[in-house]
Amino acid sequence: MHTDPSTVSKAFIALLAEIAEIPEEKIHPESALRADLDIDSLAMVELFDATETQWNIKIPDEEAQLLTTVGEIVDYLRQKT
Amino acid sequence: MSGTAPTVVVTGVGATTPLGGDTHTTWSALLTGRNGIRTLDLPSPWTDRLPVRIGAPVAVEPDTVLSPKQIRRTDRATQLVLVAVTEAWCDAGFTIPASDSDSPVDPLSVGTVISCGLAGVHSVIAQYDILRDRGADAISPYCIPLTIPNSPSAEAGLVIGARAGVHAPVSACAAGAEAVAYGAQMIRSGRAKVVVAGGADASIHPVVLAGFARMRALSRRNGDPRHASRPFDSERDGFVLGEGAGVLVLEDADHARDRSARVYCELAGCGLAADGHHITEPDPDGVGVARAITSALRDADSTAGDIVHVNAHATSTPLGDLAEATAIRRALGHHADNVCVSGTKSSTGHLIGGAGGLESVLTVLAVHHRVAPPTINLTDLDAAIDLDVVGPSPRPLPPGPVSALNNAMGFGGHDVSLLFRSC
Repeated sequence: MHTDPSTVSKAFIALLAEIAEIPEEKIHPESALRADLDIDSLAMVELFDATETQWNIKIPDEEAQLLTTVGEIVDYLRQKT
Repeated sequence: MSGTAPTVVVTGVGATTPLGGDTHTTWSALLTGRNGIRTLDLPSPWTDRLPVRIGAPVAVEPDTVLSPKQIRRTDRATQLVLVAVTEAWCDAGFTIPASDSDSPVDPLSVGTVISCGLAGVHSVIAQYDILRDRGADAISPYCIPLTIPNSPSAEAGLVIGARAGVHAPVSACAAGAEAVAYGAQMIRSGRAKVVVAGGADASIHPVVLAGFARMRALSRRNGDPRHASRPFDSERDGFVLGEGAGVLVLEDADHARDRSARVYCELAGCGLAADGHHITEPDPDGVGVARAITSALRDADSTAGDIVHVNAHATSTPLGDLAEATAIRRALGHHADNVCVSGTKSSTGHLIGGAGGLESVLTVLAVHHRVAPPTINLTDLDAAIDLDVVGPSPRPLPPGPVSALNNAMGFGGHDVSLLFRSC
């Protein structure tokens, strides 16, 4: 469980970097998953699965669909954890 | 090639096999008589009663070559294809992807035809285990793309940027060779200028071993794996399951000339036929295979006397080797006396859908380097095999123009023969 805001951000960016094979320095809060980071529909499922496992939460599909940038996901995780 | 259709040449080769992680290593190991067959490391105790415990895994694991993302998103067979295709594409002098602005080929003129016999077997069984043990939500989002049999061809097409078409004819152990024939047809019809074609399989899994073992198709020399695969030998007792990939870059000869490409040889003829006999047993008279060979000769405007070498399908099964030998004799007649026949599965094992691809690569190299590879383990030629089979040492091919055949046969009665000719 990560409760410190900066820790959440760092941990999520590290996870995203690993799944997408993107250098962490290229990932920013405003980065759009699809348009900027080339996360396709299948990788999106993989990313949310890994996020749910790492933070031990459940992200409903209808909420996941509203999360389109790195910053939005980090904010979501901060609220949930 | 007859008529005005484009001539098809081979401008690139790629492979990852039980003998090596690339074509050069594989070819060198083959010529020196190395053997890729060994005792398998199988899980215990649930496989302890498997009657066959030998196989020919690839020499270089794909996860040492590809990225973790590529490994996670693809089945093992596709991974082997990506390794071989990348090698072949670069060997032909192209860049990845073909859509690069400085690429010497238009992506709209590029195709892939890459086949498997048992694609996705590891993935589908692994996903079944996950479903049973952890539920539907744990299934990989890549489950379906991991298991569809056209994935290897499609993923290869994405890597090189193919837009003319990506295809995957399915014909069991003849699939790789049929893919090469399909690729040639794409060029001859004008639909493509460059096609990467061949086959792959990664089916060394206890379920597959058990299935083939129940058919009595596999060698049971568990205590002597290095001598288990012995095509045309009187003591052969079945094939050895291998894995790997082999692909060719086929190209319109004019296109290759315009970009000053290195040409290995011409793919001059393709012959396809069906036994119409039995779902798994070969026609003992070899009529279908003989028709495939005759068709390849006619397609190439060649005669039986032009052939100097055959890379036989020769899996090391008692029935199959004899049927193929009968077919070769039937198709080539007395000219078969002057043909040296190699059974390279003695070194590599049987790559199933990859066999036709790999053995096309080996036939291309035999023509290019003018040497027939050895049939290791041939110590006592079956008296019923009326052929000149190359023994444990490679044999030089004669000077002058040479042509060679690669045969492939698959469960279902699929028969393919490809004719490669020196340029």
